Amino acid sequence: MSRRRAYRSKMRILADMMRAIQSEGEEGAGPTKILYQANLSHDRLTQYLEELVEKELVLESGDGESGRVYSLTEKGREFLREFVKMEKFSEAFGIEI
Amino acid sequence: MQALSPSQIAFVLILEAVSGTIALLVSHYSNKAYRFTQQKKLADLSTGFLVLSAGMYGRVIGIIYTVIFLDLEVLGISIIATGFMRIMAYILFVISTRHTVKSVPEMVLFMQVPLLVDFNLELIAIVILIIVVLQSLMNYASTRSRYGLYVFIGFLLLLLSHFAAVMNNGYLISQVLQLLAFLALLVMLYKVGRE
Repeated sequence: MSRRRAYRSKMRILADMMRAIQSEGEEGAGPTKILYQANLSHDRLTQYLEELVEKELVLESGDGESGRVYSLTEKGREFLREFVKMEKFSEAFGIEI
Repeated sequence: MQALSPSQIAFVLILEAVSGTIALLVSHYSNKAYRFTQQKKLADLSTGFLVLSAGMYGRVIGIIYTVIFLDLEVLGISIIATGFMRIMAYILFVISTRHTVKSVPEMVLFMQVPLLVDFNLELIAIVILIIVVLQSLMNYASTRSRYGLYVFIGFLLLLLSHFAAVMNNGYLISQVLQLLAFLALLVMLYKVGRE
């Protein structure tokens, strides 16, 4: 049974974006892919991608507007692993993060 | 009236101390999760387990002190304090998981169970824990998460331990059930850590 999620915390949005990037493997994901998979508006996507790059969780590569590709850094992969643990722990107690 | 021999008292102390340590571990992990996610309910959960753990250690210290110094007043205070702390912890669980006789020398040899249990506080704890158990059951029913199942089993065993505590001759069983409850939470912590 899936639960309706009315509100996503910033932490979850960042994790959803990173999951979208991770799902594309080593090649990385383009902005459109992340936007659709993480269900974000363009403005939010730009804002959060900047933050992820700034925090060195995501690596930006490629040139030009259409050629940008994002991949997870080692720090990003570690963050995502930790997030999944915290998510499972919280959900076990019925707490959404 | 159930009486506990010194070896049974030692057994109870060990079970209580182990349960208290596991509660402290869950509190630590909840706090870690809170710092990571900034989800305030995790802070409440952490505080709940911390208070529960402190109450358990308080009871262990109270019993040891009483056995050594034969001071029943200290035992009475520690049992009532533990009862209140448990109720406080369970209320925090409800909030966070919402979708919890002067000198008696022979007591060194045999400690009467009514001295270790405050029945009124136990009854209040039972009522609050029923809510916690129902909440954890609903959470498990909606998520079907095996971790949620461990939490439900843990809270259910904790509730059963309180039922056992107010029954005749059930004190030792209640301590074992309490330990099993915290072991269920420990298994959940271990499995989450291995994710």
